[in-house]
Amino acid sequence: MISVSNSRSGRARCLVLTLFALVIGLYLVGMIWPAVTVAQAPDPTLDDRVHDLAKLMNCPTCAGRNLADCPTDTCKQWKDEIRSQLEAGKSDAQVLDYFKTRFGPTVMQEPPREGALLVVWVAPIVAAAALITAGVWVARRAAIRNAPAASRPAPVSDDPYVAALEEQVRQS
Amino acid sequence: MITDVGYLAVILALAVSLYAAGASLWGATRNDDRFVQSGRMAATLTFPLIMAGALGLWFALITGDFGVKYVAQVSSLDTPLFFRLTALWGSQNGSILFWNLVMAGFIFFAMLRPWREDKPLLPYVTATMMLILAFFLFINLFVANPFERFLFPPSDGAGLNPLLRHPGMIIHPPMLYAGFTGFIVPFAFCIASLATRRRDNLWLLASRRWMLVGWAFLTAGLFLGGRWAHDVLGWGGYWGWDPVENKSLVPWLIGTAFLHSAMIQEKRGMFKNWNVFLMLLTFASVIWGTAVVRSGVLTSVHAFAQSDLGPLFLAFIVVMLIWSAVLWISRLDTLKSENALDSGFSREGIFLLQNVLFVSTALTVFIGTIFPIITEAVNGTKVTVGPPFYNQVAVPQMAALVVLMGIAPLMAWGKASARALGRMSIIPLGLTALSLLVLAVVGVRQLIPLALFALALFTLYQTLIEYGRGAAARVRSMGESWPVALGRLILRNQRRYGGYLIHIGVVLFAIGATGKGFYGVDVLRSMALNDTITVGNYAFTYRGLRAVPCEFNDCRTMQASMLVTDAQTGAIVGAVFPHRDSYPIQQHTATIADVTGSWFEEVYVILAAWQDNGATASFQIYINPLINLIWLGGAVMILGFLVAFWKAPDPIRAPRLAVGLASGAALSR
Repeated sequence: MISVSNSRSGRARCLVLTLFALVIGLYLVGMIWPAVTVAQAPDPTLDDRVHDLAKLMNCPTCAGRNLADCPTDTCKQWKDEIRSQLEAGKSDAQVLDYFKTRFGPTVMQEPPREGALLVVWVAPIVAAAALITAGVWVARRAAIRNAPAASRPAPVSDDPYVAALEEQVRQS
Repeated sequence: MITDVGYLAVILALAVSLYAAGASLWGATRNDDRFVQSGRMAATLTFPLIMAGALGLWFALITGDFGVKYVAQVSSLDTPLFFRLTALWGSQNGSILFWNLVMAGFIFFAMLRPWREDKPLLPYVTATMMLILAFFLFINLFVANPFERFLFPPSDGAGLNPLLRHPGMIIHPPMLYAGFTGFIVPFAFCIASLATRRRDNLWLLASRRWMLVGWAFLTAGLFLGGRWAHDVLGWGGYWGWDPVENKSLVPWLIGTAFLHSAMIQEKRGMFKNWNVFLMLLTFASVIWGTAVVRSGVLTSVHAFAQSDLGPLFLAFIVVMLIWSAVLWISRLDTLKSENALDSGFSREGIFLLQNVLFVSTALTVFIGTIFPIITEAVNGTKVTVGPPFYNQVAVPQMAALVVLMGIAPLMAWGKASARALGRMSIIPLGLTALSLLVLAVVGVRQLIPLALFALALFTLYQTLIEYGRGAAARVRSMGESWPVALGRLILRNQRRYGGYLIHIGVVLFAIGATGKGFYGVDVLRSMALNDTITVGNYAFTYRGLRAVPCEFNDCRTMQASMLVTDAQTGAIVGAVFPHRDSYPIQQHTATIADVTGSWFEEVYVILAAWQDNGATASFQIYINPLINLIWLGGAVMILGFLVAFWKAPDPIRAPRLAVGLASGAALSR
């Protein structure tokens, strides 16, 4: 009985760890994925390059929208600035750096991954990890406390067909 | 005059709500049912009173009584009737009145319940609801008063915010308000259960359906909001991780977690404390969300709702949080689980994981939303936490939830069997592998979208098989035809199969979001007259620009015409007429897109700018593959809700089949 219970809690651990690995894996891939995840135009023209850079930036005059989507005059000036810098032969990174040094890191759509601001990137995943660990802990503690107890009849639906379906997933 | 009667009615509503709360609590402590019933009647009265207030304001809007400040702010002489009606929630002060109306509506129906075995909860339910309503009525009367009048009335008003002139405006805000305020009923039941130190599931059973209603309204509101953004904001998308969108998503996430864990408490008597916690958290996030929109501390596309109400809401939310936390913590020991978890490897275990993931996703969105406020407080700069952040941190957690949706039905209650899980996932896994092969051949070869499609497709196949397994069981034993078997199966287990239908809706949404997110194209091009450019599989020819009459009197419209053809064959796909409306009085420009393409791939064109009377113009062209699956997913979710919620007449559901468990046992072989 106890060995059965152990193997079951082992499976639970296995499943939880797999899921955990999946979340963290997806998260890490997301972190290292190039910031420009939006599909690029097939053969980027100068227009497209300006547009793609503008999508990564904020406009100071347009609440809640990125620079590319914002129609105000200030935004137009910024986009013209991007265009003339690209025309002058600067790289995408150089253009972004220009805006970052001139207006601060808040011109970008995502918080910088450095210094104290790293908190916002780390906090959610730490919270998720803590919550999942707590969940696993509760489940395991319950499983151990419960190991000698006979398995109670599982709740069965009042529809015999659904009860049969539930029975199918119980069979090993 | 009529408007002032409405004003008076709202003042009365505040007095009545305070009386109802007092009488209920007095009746409860004195054990005097007369006061409890009096409080209940008074609470029922608040809805008609606030309705009278709303009718008064509607009267002022329809008759164009610009002496009322609010009317002058949101309408003008030439505002059409439709928008005069929706203008009730077109700006801050009126929208709070409308919020109160919807909330009082829920309270009205909750008070009219039969109140039989749950009668002991009544006084506390009434008092909780009435105190919350009183707070919002107080704001309505003393801080954001829509009935305020000018000393010298202007001759015309400013007109409704052009952004809000969309047919969706009649439905999107009411849906969201109904979603938020609907949660007041389960919240009040939860508080009442804590206050009376009950150990049972009464509050949960009594309020589960109310929770589902609130959830459905919120879901519909979120999808309609996405549609509004897609049609009106001119950014080709449906969701921008805007603070105001986020604050609607957070209660949705927590509420969804609650709907699932409530099932565990109902079936297994477990997770009682956790359910109370989730319920309190759901309502706290609603109030937090309202504070976020109303306070204007965060910049948002919904800037039209800003005001200085922030501190008041903050105070309210702090009081509410402390009070409910104290109440909950002091009752922790009365809410012991009736059953223990046999094993983490079970359906209960999966539900626990799923709950935790929902909460951590909500927490992620919450942290991202408030982070700019924190950085501003710390060093004075408002860092932007934009879509890239959420796509990288929140979306993976949501993807994990999609997988759990597929696995959960394969896990037995109590203790699951790994072999059964393996055996039953062979078919969906095989179908998924086959689909991935097809996708790879078609040209979907990037790792991440392939992985996301795989997760969604596995869950889709697995859920469809669930319907198939159930129907097959009936076909075999009853000899019913497939459609009849499927119909009866669903009608006899509405919650189960309605829930699965909601899951299918979520999966359709996930597929659509992946398609749009990874294979959407978005370019900006300048073109001279009669130029042709190629974007993706389409060729676009710019055919000219002209002034056309605007829908409204206070705007001017420039409309471009553009021919869209297939780049390979030259066949005509369609013509688009994107336009720009400028509103000189409001100093506002609206860019209205036009769309063509096919059901599976939308071509969405915006007129961005023009020079020399249209000799050249620039266009923003979006190609949005699978975006229609997003809208379809939303519709399927609502359909699933209706299946789960609608009570089929008893003759359809009830007759216990004579075959009984014998055939059930035979089936299971």
